[in-house]
Amino acid sequence: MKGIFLTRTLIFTTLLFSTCLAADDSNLEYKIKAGYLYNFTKFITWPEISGITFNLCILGDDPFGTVIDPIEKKSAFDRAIKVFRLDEEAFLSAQSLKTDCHILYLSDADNQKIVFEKIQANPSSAGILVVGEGESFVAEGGMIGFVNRNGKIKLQINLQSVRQAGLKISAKLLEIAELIKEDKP
Amino acid sequence: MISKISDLSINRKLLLILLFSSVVSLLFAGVFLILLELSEFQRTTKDDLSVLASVIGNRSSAALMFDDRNLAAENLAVFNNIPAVQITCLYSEKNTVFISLAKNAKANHTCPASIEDEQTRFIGKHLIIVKSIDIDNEKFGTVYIRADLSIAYWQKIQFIGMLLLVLIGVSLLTFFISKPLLKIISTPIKRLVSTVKKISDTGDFSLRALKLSNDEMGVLVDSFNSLIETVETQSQALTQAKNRYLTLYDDNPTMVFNISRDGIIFSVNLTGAKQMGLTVEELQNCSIFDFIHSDDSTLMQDLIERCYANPLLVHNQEMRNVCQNGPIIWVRATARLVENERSQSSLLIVYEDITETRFLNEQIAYQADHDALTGLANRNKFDRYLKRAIVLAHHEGAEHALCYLDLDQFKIINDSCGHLAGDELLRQLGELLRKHIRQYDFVARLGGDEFGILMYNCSSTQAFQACEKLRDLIKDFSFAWEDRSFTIGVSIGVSSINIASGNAVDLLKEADAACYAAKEKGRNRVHVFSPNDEALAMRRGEMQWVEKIRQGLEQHRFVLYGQPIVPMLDTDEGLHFEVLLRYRDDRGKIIPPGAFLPAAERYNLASELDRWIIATLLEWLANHPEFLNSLTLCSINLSGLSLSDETMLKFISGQFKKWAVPTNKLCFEITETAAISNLSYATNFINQLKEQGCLFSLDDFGSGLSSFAYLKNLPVDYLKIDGLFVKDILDDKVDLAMVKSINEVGHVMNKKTIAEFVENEAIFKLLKTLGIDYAQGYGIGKPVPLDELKPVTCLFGGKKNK
Repeated sequence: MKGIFLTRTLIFTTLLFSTCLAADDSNLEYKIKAGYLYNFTKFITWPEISGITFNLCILGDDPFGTVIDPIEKKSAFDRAIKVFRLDEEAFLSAQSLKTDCHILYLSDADNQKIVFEKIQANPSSAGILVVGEGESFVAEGGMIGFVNRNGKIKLQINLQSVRQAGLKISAKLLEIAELIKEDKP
Repeated sequence: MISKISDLSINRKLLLILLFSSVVSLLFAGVFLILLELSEFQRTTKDDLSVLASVIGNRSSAALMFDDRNLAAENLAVFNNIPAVQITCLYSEKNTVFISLAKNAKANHTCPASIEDEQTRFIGKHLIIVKSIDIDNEKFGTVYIRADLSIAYWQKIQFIGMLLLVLIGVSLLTFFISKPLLKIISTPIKRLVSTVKKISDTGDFSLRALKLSNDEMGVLVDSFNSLIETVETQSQALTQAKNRYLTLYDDNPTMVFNISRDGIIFSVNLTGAKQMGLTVEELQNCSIFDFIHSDDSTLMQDLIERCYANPLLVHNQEMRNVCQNGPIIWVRATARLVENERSQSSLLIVYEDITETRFLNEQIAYQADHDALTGLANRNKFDRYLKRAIVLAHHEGAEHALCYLDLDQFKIINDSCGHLAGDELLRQLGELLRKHIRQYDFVARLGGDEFGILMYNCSSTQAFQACEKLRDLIKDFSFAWEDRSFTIGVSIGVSSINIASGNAVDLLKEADAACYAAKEKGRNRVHVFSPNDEALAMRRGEMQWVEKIRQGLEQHRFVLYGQPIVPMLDTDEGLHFEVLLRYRDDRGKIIPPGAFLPAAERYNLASELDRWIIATLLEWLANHPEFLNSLTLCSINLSGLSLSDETMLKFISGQFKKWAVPTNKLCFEITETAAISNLSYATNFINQLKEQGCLFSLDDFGSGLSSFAYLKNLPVDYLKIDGLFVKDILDDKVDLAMVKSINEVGHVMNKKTIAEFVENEAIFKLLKTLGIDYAQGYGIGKPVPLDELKPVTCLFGGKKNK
């Protein structure tokens, strides 16, 4: 417990400082993003959570490094949060997308379209919140994307994708985010 | 305070109670309202702001977590609409100010640096709301609101004030509306009180309180009125009783005093004060001794002591009282001891004015002892002194003398000059006698012209000498009256009072007899009584008759006889007679009037006898109507005394009325001497009775002064020629001439003549030839009782009317 408290304190200290520190400080940026990832659990409702942990999966390269670790000391929906790092290739090659991820963080922008298709194609992919970063992430089919605005990290949400995934998103979260519609050919 | 209130009028008290209850209820309501309103206001404000803070916090949770200050600021802007909120702050998870919103920039409101210690609370007029923002029991931030409630409070207070004002207004309205209602209670009390006050001020118990309602006040008024009614009745009764007793006290004809033992006057009634000549107030605290005659103060002192010595008895004393304005009155003081309600004793004294009674008593006593005319002692006192002298003679063996003086010829002066002259003479003689007796001798007027003198320690010889001197003195005394001068004589009888003397009556008889003897001897001389004196024997017999006559009148010893009178001519005139008086003594013997008439004349009993005769005769006539029918004339003798008796005429008239006997059948006979000695009286007497129809005859004519001149003035109808002339008419030529001339003169004067003492036929015939009208005498008829009286039918052996 004591550890959790300390971690939270640490996270919020970073959050606090995020406004003051330079955005290009990548370590701080991901610290904030890690905090935001945790905050999503407060505003988004997952349809059904099986298993005893709440799983956060990082697909591809891990931009967080150790800054994400403190999240494992927290819990969501009465479950401990567990961080998984998934291999991108294995994920894409697998015939069936059989993962227990609740949040899937996609760091690689190159393969993101394929990943989206794969996920969309797989009916069992419901219940996965796909989070990424970059201006195009949401527009191409991602659910929530981090974007930098004037040195501040803002959210972009594709409400349609979120709904397709069977997730319910709080209006309060929508209030502070930019809602982006998918560019469909 | 409470006592001040309790002195207020009922109306004010009621008002005060009303006011007090209103104020208290308003006060409590106001305070309660304020407290309730404020606490309610605080609670709702706190709740409202808390809810609002919670909503805002909730809404700002995403903004806070994703660092969106704009959205947070927008959310906080809601508070702009709440005027009380001064500042709103949103704190992050780290208790640092995330964003704040101050409404009034000038007011310089700032968020507290630390939110750790803050909590929702009221600080004075301010309300602090602290609300944490929790998601899934995780605290992400805090909302801080600071509101200034002073305006809201002020508005609340204004509202409550308004409410109170309305309440006060309503209370005042209620107060003014109920004020007249208070009168329903206060007015009857006020009126009752004013009535009570009026009654107590004026003492007029006829006033009544007015009943205005039927409540307790009405009952009170009724009870009060009935109480006053009782009081009035009792008061009236008391007043009446008091007035009655006051009248009884003040108007009492006697003087009533209440005094102390020292004589200090506590109270006196009006009559007492009036009589004393002072007012009741002036008399109070004076001493009663100031008003008592100095000679009588010991009597008063004695009376007071007697009252104290014998408190149960009533004590009397007569004494003199000196009134303020001078007069001395005799009072009978009646006193007794009384005790007042405090057991203090005082004296109740009643004075009865007996001055007049006393004066009258003294006067009566004086009159009883004195002769009004001469101022000398009278027979009464003389008798007393005489008795005393007898006692002295018997006890001490002293010798005194009783002198009896009778004036000679006094009657002449009385008759010729009138009673005034006679009275004056008696007065002067009384004075003369008083001056010339010894100082310790005693003179009294015994009656008429008789005086008595008691000479103390005086032998009969000395008395004789003294009486001789008195006789000479009186003889030399010259009485002048209206240019005429009279000398007068006195006959004096002397009787010696010594150890052998009998009682006073005997002594007086002796002296009287001696005086009579002196007169008999030729008047103007002194005779000393001696027991063997023959000359006095007859006199004594006469005096015995006085008593017999008195008893005779009471015991009906007198009887009436009648002697017929007949006309000389042979005419039948019916019954004509003279009434004569007889005395029937113890043995039934009839005594002729010659025995008692002189005594009757001398001792003033003749008039008494005349009255008896008149009354008896008239009664007898009235009871014998047949006799009355046959009666022509009946003559009755009247003594000289009756003629001068002023009541005699009234008596006779009264008897006429009483018996209704025809007066023309009555004839009164008066003697010439009696008529002449009192001519004016006689004339008047005759005239008066003649007016009533009576007739008169002049009796014994010729024997007295026999003045024809007098006869002229006397309006009589008959002349009765004195029997002394008639008796010897046959032998005495002078008598014959007298009878003849009398008869002639009588006839000339138109009067009928009657001859008395006609004892035989010879005289009768002679008289008849002389022309005498009537005859009376033994020869005609002897006096017989009235019953036996009959008309004379036969005279001198022949028939009368032949």
